[in-house]
Amino acid sequence: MSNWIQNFENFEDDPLLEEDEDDFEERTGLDSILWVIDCSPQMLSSFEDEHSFFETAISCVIKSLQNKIICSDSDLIGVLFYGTKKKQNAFGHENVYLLYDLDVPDVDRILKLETYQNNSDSFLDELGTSEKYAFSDVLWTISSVFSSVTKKLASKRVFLVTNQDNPDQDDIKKLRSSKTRAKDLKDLEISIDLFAMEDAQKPFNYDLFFKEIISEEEGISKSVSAISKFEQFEQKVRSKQVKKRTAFKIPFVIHEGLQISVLGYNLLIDQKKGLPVNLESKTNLQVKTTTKYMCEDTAQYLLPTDIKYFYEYGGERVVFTKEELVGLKNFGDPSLVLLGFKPFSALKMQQNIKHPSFIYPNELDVAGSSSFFAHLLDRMLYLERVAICRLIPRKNSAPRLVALYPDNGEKTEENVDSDAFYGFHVIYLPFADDRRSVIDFKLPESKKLFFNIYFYLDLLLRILVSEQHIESAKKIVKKVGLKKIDPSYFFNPSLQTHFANLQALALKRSIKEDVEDKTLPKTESIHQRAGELIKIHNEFCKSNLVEAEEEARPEKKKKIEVSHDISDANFEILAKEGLLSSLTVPELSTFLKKIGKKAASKKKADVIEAIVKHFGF
Amino acid sequence: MSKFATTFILDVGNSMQREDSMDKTTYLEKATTVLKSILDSKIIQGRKTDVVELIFAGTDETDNPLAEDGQYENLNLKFSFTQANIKMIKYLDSLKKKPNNGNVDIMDALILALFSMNNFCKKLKYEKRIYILTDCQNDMLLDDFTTVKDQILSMNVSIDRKNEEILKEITEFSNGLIFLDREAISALSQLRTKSVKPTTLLRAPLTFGDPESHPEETLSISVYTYLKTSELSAKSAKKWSSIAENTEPESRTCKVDTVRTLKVTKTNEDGMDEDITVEKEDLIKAYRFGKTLVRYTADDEEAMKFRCSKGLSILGFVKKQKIKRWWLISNTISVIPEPGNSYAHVQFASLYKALFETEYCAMVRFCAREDSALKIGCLVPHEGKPYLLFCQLPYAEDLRPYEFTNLKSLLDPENIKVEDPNSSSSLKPKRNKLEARTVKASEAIQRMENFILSMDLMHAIKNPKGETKEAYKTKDIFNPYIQRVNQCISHRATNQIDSFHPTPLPLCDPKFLASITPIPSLIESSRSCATALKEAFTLLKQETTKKTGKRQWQSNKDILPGENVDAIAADRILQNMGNEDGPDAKRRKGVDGLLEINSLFE
Repeated sequence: MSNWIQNFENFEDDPLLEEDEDDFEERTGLDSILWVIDCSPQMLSSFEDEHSFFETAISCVIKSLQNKIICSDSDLIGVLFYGTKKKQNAFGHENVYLLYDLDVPDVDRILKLETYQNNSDSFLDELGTSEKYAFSDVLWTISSVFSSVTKKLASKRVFLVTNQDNPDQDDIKKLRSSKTRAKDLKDLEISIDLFAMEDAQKPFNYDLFFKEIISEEEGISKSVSAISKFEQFEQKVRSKQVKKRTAFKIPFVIHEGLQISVLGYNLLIDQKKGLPVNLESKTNLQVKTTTKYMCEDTAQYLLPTDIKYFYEYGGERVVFTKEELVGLKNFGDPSLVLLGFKPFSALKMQQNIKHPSFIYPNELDVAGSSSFFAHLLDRMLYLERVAICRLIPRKNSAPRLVALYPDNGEKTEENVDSDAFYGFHVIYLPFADDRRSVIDFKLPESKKLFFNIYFYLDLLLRILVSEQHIESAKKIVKKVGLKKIDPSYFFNPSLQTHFANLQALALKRSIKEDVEDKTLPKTESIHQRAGELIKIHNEFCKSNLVEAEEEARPEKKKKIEVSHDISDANFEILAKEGLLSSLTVPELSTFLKKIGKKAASKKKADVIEAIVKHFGF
Repeated sequence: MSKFATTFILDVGNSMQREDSMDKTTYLEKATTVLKSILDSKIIQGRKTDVVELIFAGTDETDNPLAEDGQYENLNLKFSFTQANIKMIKYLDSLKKKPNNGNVDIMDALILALFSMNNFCKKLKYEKRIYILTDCQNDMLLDDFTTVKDQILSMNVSIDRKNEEILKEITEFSNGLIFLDREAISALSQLRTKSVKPTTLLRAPLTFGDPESHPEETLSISVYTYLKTSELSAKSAKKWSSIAENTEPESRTCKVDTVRTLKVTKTNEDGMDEDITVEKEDLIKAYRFGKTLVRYTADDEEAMKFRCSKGLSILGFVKKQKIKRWWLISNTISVIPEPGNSYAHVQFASLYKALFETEYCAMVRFCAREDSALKIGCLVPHEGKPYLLFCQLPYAEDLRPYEFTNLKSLLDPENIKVEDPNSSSSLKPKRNKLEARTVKASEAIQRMENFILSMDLMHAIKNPKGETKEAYKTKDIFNPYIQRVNQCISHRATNQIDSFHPTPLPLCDPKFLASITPIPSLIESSRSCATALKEAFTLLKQETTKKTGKRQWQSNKDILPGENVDAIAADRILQNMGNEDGPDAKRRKGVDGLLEINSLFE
């Protein structure tokens, strides 16, 4: 039986299981993103060396589609072009082309977009480009695309890509019309994220037009920076495409009568493969699994209210109702309670049990939270302090001890490339129960006198390792430094392999043999840079070790190797002079073997005798 | 050694029924409390390889295998070696109702214990231990002493006992310990945790370079790895059918079967949808790719699986500072050199020292099992212990780079936000809506700093000698939830008549939560700083008018007694009243705090 069936069989709906961490916000519907891409002639001009603005945009859309297709299977994505020669939309607006309605992404869509990405001629042939479009028509079409969706939408977002900062060209009438349409979008709770592209020749002036159009919720301070590099574009898509979800919303109690409110997020969560579904093999129909519980004694099916729970305790079964069990977890209302502060250095690396969370002030429950939070964060960073707190993130979650680590969202010299976030990282600390302290293995008999393993290792550190050992190891450490190590650099090779296979199977392409794996050590480069140093270090470790071992265990003899090169002629002279005894047994034996003679025994005298006999003396 | 055999010898004689004038409990009650506590923890842990035996000395009746011709009388080997169970606890409880008056001979009891242990353990590797709980009021016959001594030595038993003189010698040569009664009770009333036997996660070389093509020029250190931290979960419960409670007592089990059915919906000849059961054998797994379902046979999946071989390989080295503390995404793992391998020790120790002194760490690819989940992480010197620690770091896929508005501008001493002069709105500088400071920036900063320092935990605990200690050290704090679950299970098990008549749950022991509650003395000593800080900000609790989610947070007034935040700033309430465009109006739009905050910046 394959693993996945076993997995779902073992699944128990234990009422004590933690609630889904991500599921604090009630999911009231699907997330949706409509890509709106400017295709007018200036988008087809060169952006970075080889690619046009348009091509760059398309490749980001493709990446986003691929990502959505794999990670969140039910989100809706659509693609709307404007500034095209052809038109395709519900109201017959000119120069607006709805390529794909909002729908679950599909393989064919990716394939189609890939042809535009690789060959803009095919795009020009099919749809053409034009400067004659009314921006208000684009906005109108956007609202109609969203309103044609019958499914319930939890979020309606537009990702607008353009390098034209003044699409209405200061035409008052057009501008007024665009503003009206923008207000309509706002009323429909459709938010626009602007991907403003610029290059050196044509900087993007946000204030000219878009300031009035983009709904104010998507703050002015955020969207104003234009994109001038492909990486920036990718980065922005990456940070926008997952809808921000709160994991908890709780009061942060600082002291008696002093509290603010915070929102919790999970910035890091172990990303897994999507869950497989079961099909009936012959028909490809999706299989539904239903689980029922049956009383063994009465053979009746049980309603959830008929089920209680029990533990075994020394032969006795102890029964609890579901309510009782859930109640055991209750140590108070959800909250974050400050216990005090410790220096950064008190938070050790080993004090970690799971992925961190993140908190940010919540002005809606306690006005003034942001101001207080900002001052607390600033001073904690200045004093290099972490806050130790008790966290009950949700109702019925058990309390945990956490450390709040301040982050001012600024990139440091050491981490120029990595993401930084403004807020507190919530680091979950282990309880005494979660610590596995004693490494209990049998010490070698001779080392029994040492009290425990730590002491023993520490002692070895002191006596076995000299300054030279450390210095030669240091040289290796310094020689092979890594530049990029932040989380955005290492892709999970196992996931990537799965995604690549899945995509290849779906698109009926051949399976990629080697997916790039950045977690593999670059052994050749290591060899070139540090091979020689490592060799020296290894030999040094070995040689000193031999001396140490000699002292410790004289009974184990060193294997002696033949070191002198002694010719046959020399042997003859030595034998004549009676000086063979100055040589070692291995040297003598090697010679004897060479001449194909055997000695009576392995004793030196016998070996010498055999050689002397050979020369006939 | 992973197998334990423990004998408890409990003196139940006359003298044990005396009351201790200090606390008005009898010595027997004290001894049973201690014994019950030990047994309780063994039951909770439920290890099959941990067996106990109970011998009662001074019982009226005599029941033991050595009893013959008036020898070994008044000894009752009530429970021979078995896993600790509820019957033992219940029997101990029954002792106080039925006083025993037999003659007590601890030496006889010890000989019986050794005899029985010898029979049970034979040559098997058990960790053997005898506990004697006695007040030592009865004379001991010393003629057998030497034989007992020899036998203890030959069997390698260790003996622990509570109280007094003669047995001191025995405990000394067998490395035992003597507890005085109060020590024993206090040692056992401490919160305890399940001890988990450390097992190696992986034994493999830690390599740097390519051992295949350049064996000489490759660092290859033979190491063992162990879990350093791992989240311990509470015991899990099984399902119980409550409708079976009313059936015949003789046959009822109350067990619950899980029945799973697999069905597909097909249209039958009449054009109606019909659910048809499918066999497990007829299933095939498929992954979603957008709308497409991609079929995977077990062979496909095996053939296309990502391959990696077990071991730890170093990719290179980085400054430890570059690793942000919050990147750690999982539990931590200890890495030590292979025991007894001197070469590995020297290599390991020089690497450890080199990393320690240069403040570097090694980036490592970690594969615990062949073709299993591959981890990426860093190897850092453990702080304070001479081994390395593997800390798992996130992959790019694990990161959700949400955007958060930087609130640094709220520290701005000018306290105002200048509007863009080109925009059509008012040119007048206005106060940032998020600003809640009532004092000057420098003053607020000073008060915050004072407060942080007043809540310092590094010296928050004072012992009677006046020495200070760090508070909330993780090794001192036990998971209150696990303690609570165990408390309830033991309480109900020992107090109920049977499974069908559960007793009310005990009150939650305040000890459980006390360890993660603010220290009262610290709250007191920091009060003036906290008050000053509070006055520096106008914090106003907003009334939540609309439920935005199923799990709305409730008022928090029970957590710490104190003033209601609402009362602090009446002026802000007035300011917001009747203001349709104020925060109240904005709130209705959604729960996403960031959007709201940005709108407040306008």
